[in-house]
Amino acid sequence: GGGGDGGSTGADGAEEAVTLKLGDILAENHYISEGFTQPLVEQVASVSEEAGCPVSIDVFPDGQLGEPADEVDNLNSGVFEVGHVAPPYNGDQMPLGNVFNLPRMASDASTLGLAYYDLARDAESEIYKYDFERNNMVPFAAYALPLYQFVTSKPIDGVEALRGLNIRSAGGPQNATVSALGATPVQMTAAEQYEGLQRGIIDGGIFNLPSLISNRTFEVTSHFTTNANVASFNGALVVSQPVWDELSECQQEALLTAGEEATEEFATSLPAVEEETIAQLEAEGLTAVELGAADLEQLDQALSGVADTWLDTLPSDAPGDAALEEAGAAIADRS
Amino acid sequence: MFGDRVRAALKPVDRGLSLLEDGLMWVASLALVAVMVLVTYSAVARYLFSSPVTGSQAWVGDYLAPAITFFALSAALRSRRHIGVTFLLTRMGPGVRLLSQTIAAVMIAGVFVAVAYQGMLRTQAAVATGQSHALLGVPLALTYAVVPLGCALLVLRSLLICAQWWTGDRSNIALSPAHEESPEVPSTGIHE
Amino acid sequence: MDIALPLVMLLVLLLAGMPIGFALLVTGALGISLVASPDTMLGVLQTLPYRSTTSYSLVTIPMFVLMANFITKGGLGRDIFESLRQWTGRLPGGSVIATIYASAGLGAICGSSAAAASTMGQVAIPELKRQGYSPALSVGAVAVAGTLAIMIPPSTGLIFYAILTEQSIGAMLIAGIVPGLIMALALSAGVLAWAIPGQRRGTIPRGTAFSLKQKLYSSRLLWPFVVLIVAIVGGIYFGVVSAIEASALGAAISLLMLVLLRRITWPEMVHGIKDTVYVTTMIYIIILGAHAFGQFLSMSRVPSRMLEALTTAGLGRWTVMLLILLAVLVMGFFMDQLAILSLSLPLIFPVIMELGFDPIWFGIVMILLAEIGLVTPPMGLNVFVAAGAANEPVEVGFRGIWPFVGIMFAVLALLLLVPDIATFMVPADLS
Ligand code: NA
Ligand code: NA
Repeated sequence: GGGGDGGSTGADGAEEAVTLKLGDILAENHYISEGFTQPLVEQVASVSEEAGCPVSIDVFPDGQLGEPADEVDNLNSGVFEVGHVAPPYNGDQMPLGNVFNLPRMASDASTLGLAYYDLARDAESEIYKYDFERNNMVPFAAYALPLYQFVTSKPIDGVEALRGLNIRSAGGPQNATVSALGATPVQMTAAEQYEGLQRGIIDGGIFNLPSLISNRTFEVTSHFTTNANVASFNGALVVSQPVWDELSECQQEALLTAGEEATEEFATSLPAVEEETIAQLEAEGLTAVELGAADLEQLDQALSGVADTWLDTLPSDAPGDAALEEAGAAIADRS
Repeated sequence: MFGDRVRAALKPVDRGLSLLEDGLMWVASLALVAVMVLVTYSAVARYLFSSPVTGSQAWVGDYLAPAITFFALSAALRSRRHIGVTFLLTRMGPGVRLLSQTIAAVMIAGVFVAVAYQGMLRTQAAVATGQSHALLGVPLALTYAVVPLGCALLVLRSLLICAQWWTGDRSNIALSPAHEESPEVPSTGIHE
Repeated sequence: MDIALPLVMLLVLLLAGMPIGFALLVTGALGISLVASPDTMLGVLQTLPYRSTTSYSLVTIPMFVLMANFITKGGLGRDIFESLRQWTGRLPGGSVIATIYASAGLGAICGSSAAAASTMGQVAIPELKRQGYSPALSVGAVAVAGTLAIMIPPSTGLIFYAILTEQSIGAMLIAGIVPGLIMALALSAGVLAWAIPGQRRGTIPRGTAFSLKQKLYSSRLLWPFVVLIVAIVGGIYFGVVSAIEASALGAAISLLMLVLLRRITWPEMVHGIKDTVYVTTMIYIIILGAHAFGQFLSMSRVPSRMLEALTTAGLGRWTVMLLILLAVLVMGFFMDQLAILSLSLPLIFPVIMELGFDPIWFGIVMILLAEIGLVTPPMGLNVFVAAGAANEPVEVGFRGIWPFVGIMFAVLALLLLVPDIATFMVPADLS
């Protein structure tokens, strides 16, 4: 049974159980699934059960119910009731959230994820109004991945060493970032990236460090930065507005409570994940490069124009400047 | 005879539809050549000059590939280029064959009416909200529109094929290329 | 009922001759309506048709098809056969062996078995018959050798498998090299073993010797072919280009060479492009149908329940594997390779992964089964094509395949016993 039949009361006074389908974009064994989505699903079950208004979320992983790029449309047309949306994949419809993926936004991913959650839950924020409300989505949990680093198959000791290298980029602001440092941006699918590094089509990329282990990129790379923080990847769990409206207040409250808990827990767990990852990569023989103050200043200076190139790509009715400002404030609040 | 009159009336419909299909086939062919040129150029530019064409993946995947697929869809049905399992078909009597292929064609028309209509809704929504490609900045409605356009032609073509079977020559009824015409069955001259 | 009805209907529609892609889409849509709701189905139809076509990796297929269309129009297949025929001329069954290696060579620049069989059918069969080989052997050899084109890269079958199972296209292509060469070796060894006594009894014609000078002179024809192999296989293997880029580059280089050599006319070029567009829309619609049907299966939870049933049934992993291979083999009697892959993989690939088999190796096994299916009756596309090209009845062709099919099964057994054949060339664990 799908959603939309919630809120009715059973014979014994307790509410009837509601099952919502989640069309997840990630595989079951992805660390976001294991560290964020699955705990969230369990928390929703236990919180709602305790409150007497059971909600269960039935997860269809790995794009089984549709490609990531169609997540917003599929949610709105009722293919599933709970969506896992991510601005990097859904930039056509929720472009403002990508402000968190600009270079040098924050010094750690926990802060970034919590700030994104704060704005997603703030009915007055531009990001809520443009990305979520306009698309009939109610966000109830959010995250950001460990901040993206330069990872190369050639030795690097600082920012200057990147000059002239072919660097894999996911496109958009990442292209501007790579170009600003004198390197060549190369667009390449994730499936080709291992091969590309191994055969020298590219000399490196902008990756989050845990992904180096999960897709074995560590086998074909040698150096990585630990504090370049040139991008991120953020996402949110959302319920479609009509489905949300049919849930009882108790069920809505349960989703929000569980969502906040899962958001906080995941953000809190990130520093340990990052530390562990760095140790693992070093054990595999990779060299960690911590950029010094001079390098970081050079990075900040070179990349100061990237936000403008991002603003240029936004639709004319999207309040990009305001989003940039409120994101900065939200990050400062959580720091 | 009634059948003859219907057949005569269908002729201009066929001509008009074929004209549209042929036009879209040309666009699809140009899109295919554009894929070859764009991918080759961007590989060569990266290898020789370290300056790949940014956005070539997005152009190829999100704009050119759908145009090739949906613009050629109906012409391919007309030319019997959608492969099927026809070893049973070639052993059916003409009556059963007419019936089975008619049902198949009507079902194709049915599902593609839905695809075309839903595709139109999506195109309209993309226009209404001014969605543009996140990397290229080009309107998404441009590429979403190939789906309803190509599928609408497919619906017309499959219904027209049915009408032609029922009012005309029934010796050669099949939606797929029938390479597997068995030697026991007299040749139906399906090979082009 | 919700699950059985679409499955039965798919079978009925396929047997009734509805094109595969459409049959999958119709029954997938019906299935989604039943296990979820009609509104869900409409929602899926709003996004899926467009999205099924937007994969950048997928354009590898049209690009390799385009290249194959150009080179068959330009007559490269004839050059390869004419040259090899002089090198193997004196061996017993030499011209048949030349046919096999010419098909393997053509296969190295062409990804479609039907295209290889059709080209070699027109080029080799008249020459074989002129030399006195039986029509059955001539058609059978061309049909079987043509299947090498889907094992030796590039191959639409290997790419299709990689796309459907989310494996690296480059890895799949490289994995096909050694099994393809082993198959060519095994087939030619079989011909030799058959032709030596045959020549003595007079059922196989004697070969003709050519001088070294003639042999070397005939090889001058091969340079465009060498250029293409170096560009494609070398390009992928040594990392100059990705598999996708190699396919577009191959099409562009072959067109450029043929235009410079004045071996392709404007109408031939236009025809090659239009034919590629038809093949592209056909394959993409099958992929769309496979996605719709796969989405129905996911929503119905059939694959996960099947997995559970299989793992609790206590069958050994090889028992399950052999059952799967048997089912695929039987499908191969009746169906085309694209149909087999798109119909079976959504169900069996999760099982294969769960049982811990190597996905790249399994892809090669599937392609080998598809090769067998291409030449076995009642639906043996390559035999139809070769017989058609030679103007011989189909049953004559089917009479000639059986010794070769025996050899193909032997190679299959070898591949099952020594999986490394498929995987050792693949550079590393590509995720
Ligand atoms: Na090939
Ligand atoms: Na067969």
